[in-house]
Amino acid sequence: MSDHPNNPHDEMIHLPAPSAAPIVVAAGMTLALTGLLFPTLLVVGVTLLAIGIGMWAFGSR
Amino acid sequence: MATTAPSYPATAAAEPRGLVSWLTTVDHKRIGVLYIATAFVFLLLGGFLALLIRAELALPGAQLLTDQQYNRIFGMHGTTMIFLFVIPLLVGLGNYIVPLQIGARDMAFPRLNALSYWLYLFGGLVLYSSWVVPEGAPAIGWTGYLPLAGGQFSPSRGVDLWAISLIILGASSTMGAVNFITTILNMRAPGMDLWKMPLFTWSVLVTAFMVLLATPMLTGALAMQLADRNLGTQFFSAQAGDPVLWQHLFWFYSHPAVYIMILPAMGVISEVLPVFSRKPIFGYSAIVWSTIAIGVLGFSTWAHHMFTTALPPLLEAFFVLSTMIIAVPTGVKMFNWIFTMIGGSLKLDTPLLYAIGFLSMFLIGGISGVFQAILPIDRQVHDTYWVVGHLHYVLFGGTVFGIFAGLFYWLPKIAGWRLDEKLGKTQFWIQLVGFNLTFFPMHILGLLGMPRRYFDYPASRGWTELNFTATIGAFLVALAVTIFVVNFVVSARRRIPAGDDPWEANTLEWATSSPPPVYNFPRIPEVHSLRPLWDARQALREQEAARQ
Repeated sequence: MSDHPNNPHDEMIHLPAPSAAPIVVAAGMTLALTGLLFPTLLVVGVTLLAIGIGMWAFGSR
Repeated sequence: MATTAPSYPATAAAEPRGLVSWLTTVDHKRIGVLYIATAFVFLLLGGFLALLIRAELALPGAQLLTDQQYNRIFGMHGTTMIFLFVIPLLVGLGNYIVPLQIGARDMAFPRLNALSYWLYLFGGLVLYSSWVVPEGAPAIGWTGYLPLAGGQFSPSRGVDLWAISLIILGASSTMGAVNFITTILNMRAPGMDLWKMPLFTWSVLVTAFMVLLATPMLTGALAMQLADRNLGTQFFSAQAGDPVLWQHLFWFYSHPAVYIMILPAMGVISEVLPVFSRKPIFGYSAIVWSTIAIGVLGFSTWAHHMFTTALPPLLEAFFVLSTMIIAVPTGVKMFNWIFTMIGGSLKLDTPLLYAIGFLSMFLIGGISGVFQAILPIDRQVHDTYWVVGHLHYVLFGGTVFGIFAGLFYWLPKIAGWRLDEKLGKTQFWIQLVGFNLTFFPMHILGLLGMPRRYFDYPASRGWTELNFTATIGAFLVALAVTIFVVNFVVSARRRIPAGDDPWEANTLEWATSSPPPVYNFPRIPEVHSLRPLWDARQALREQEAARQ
């Protein structure tokens, strides 16, 4: 094992930022699907899903 | 990569803190911890349901449940243990360990990874919400066979919630599988070709392909069941459709699911045995090919669950043969693991004890499975307690022992402190004894004709002593799990530092600190062999020898 030569000691490591989009999308998907049985949840679920997808899309620019 | 992403100098650690940081995390290690913790909570719930089942069956006559309560509880126990404990806990271990093992900084799609976790959690909550709908949780077992699960016999909304929760969990699994495949195929450290990849990572790769191919079948079947129940379609009706079609679709997912549950546990064993035997793994390539063979053959055995549904004789012969053939790659692995230990300098710490427990218990489960591949035997033992004993030897004696081997092996890396060895060994022996007391008598009960899923049995059948023994065993298993919880709490308070590489292991996850920094490695290592850390230690030894 050795250090990779194209990876100098002073490199900056870039990692993705934390995001609330996944939890919002998951909540939206879950409520939308459960809303097939309980219609009031459908409205909440689809709304959350749209918000989550928006956060995901615009947060990634 | 997102432009909003934080950048870290290669030597600085910047760990976010607080509840919000956990809700918004996209770090594979934190997501792995969330998976493991959530799955463990579901283990406690599913285990509590198992204790209720065993308490009810300890003696003839109704003990503490009604028949309908019993039916709900054993269905929820099975669904919980398979979909909410075993599979997700292995996903959690994979999430934490795989990027570290291959020298990557994270999974390929970190946000998709977080989405998979949250869907898993919410899917579990949907399943458990079925307890509060008016007609209660589903009383259809974990298999949801038709016509029992149809609207006529199970009008409860709980069945719909069960189906919806499994669809959500399927979406979570599928996203996770895509992420694992992409990560493993594209993000390995320089020099790590497929034949230098750790065996746990190999097992996760093959499992991910199985999940990707099998899960849509179950999702489709569940959607059809929901349509039958709510929209008037008749896919599975006896009049216009075919109830046996459900069994085909269900088992096309659920038999591969057995391998989805066992392959990563086998991967854990392939990591633990060489480290604690102080030897290289015996037959690395044979284990890899066996894993691939199990992954492929796993799709050709589903109808052995359906030998009593009057399949055409040619199909029966095919499924008998394929079920026997799949024992061959499994046997190859067994020999390789045993030969890894032979001649080794065995270090009998808790991970190795659990690995040996896995080998011996899974062997019993595997052999009883081959018995069931034989048609006349299968027809005798079908739907008896023999099958319950067999499946628990595979999924508990195999997978759960493998999970504990993995937890004891990797927790020092994840937490940075070690679990108490004495408590670990105590847990192992109590669990081993309790497990065998619970599930071995079930084979005899099955041969004596006791049907599975029954709420009660008459005293005159002579099944009481064996059932009572099984109940004592179940409470011993509960004691063992309690000891694990105590061990975790006590060790977390003591915080005895684990060090970066407490086991003198071979793979890259041990090359970074315990716990690893958010970016995993200050510099991405380059790999030259299957055992990069052994190489590094060997190089150090040679340097020291040269100096002297």
